[in-house]
Amino acid sequence: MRLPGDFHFEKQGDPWLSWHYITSNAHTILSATRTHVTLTLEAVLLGLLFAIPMAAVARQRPWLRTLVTNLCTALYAVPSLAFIVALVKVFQLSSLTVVIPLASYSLVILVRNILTGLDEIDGEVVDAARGMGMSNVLIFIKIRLPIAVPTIIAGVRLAVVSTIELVVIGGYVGQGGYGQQIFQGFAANSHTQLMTYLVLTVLLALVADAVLLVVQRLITPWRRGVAT
Amino acid sequence: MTTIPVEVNNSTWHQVTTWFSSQASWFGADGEAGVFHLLFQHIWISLVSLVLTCAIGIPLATALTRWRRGGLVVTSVANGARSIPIVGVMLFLVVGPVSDGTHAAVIALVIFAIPPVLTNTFTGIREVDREATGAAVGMGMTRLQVMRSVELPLAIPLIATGVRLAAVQIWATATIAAIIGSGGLGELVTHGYSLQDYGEVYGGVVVIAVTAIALDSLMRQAERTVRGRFGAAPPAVA
Repeated sequence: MRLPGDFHFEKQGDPWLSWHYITSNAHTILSATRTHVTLTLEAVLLGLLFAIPMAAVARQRPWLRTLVTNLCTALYAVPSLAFIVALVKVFQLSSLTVVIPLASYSLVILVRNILTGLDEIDGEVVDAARGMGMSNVLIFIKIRLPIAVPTIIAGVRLAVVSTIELVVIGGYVGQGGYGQQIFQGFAANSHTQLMTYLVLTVLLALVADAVLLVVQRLITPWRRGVAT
Repeated sequence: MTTIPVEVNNSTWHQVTTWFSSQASWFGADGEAGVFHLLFQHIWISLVSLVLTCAIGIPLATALTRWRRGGLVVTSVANGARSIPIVGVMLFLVVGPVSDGTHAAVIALVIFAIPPVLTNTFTGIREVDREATGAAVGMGMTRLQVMRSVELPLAIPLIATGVRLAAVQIWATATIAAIIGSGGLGELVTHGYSLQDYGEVYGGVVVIAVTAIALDSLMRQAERTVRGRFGAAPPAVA
């Protein structure tokens, strides 16, 4: 049936985009959005949880830095589909099946950015802090980390956007918010379902990018006016 | 004489060792493709995609450097591609305009591999010293000659980085294309998963991970060689 607001570019089959589909499936769309956002946040937060100590350790010795960088490169080279399916047997239907691989990919982006951010620091600032009697741990928490925040947030932005895109692959194992809907649409040969959620994924990524840009500007007011 | 009871072992570990030791999983049997056949398919898909990516990306970047707004186009393409899910695009291509799985895979792989080649080639050419191009023009070279014998050679180190990133990305993403029936190493994972044969799944994961990491270090080595031959390079854009 052809409805007003439908968009076809083929003679047969259901429309690629349909306003009617969106209104009648609003509930599913909302819950898929919630799942997609939750999975993304869990993955990036887990990645961040590991990335900060890893970057801190990597700075201690040159060989540790090489080790951490190489580990990240190796992790990043493992294709996502293989990584996710490999964990299905271990975590079954738990969201960890998708969250752990995605967390390790975001870890790679985050470690790289945190290291760059920490390297930017002026040696004199650290010397001054040490002269004031700050311990190494205190210097890391109170001086190094805050100065690195803009670069870290830039890394988080990058990680969030690419994670939103990667969550879709989770649809292959019956998870992953929009991804699940995209794969269902594919299996059912439903053009509308496939395309709607594909467009939604792109929109979500763009919205997340814009929101994080605003956050980045709000928490680093001294950098306003500097190109990001 | 007592008979030794044969224990039926269905553990995952058993499945994995069976898969690795079976000749059929490496060379194929009963119409099922083995690892070597799939590896060949994977190399073929990746190679075709990489050649197409370079054939489109490098000239396109070269043309964009001639245009004032070129930089904006390059960053928009790179940012835009990052927010589009490649699996979604593959499924879309196969359901819609391209019915053949392998063709759809190559198209999607090329689309997503163009940004690294595009950005690196663009940066490489833009960072060529103005004095070098100025001298070339002063020697009476035409614009095309300046491009061919001055700008492109000086940009080669960065182009090499772009090609390396594209190659590694294509190899990794080509495994996902098995979902749409393109063949290649990803088929070990999808085929094993559909049959719940975790021997094949884990075997596939190992083969895929090892080849991906090997390709990555091989390409880094190749990039270093190219950089060494074409002189000191500006820092790589990752």
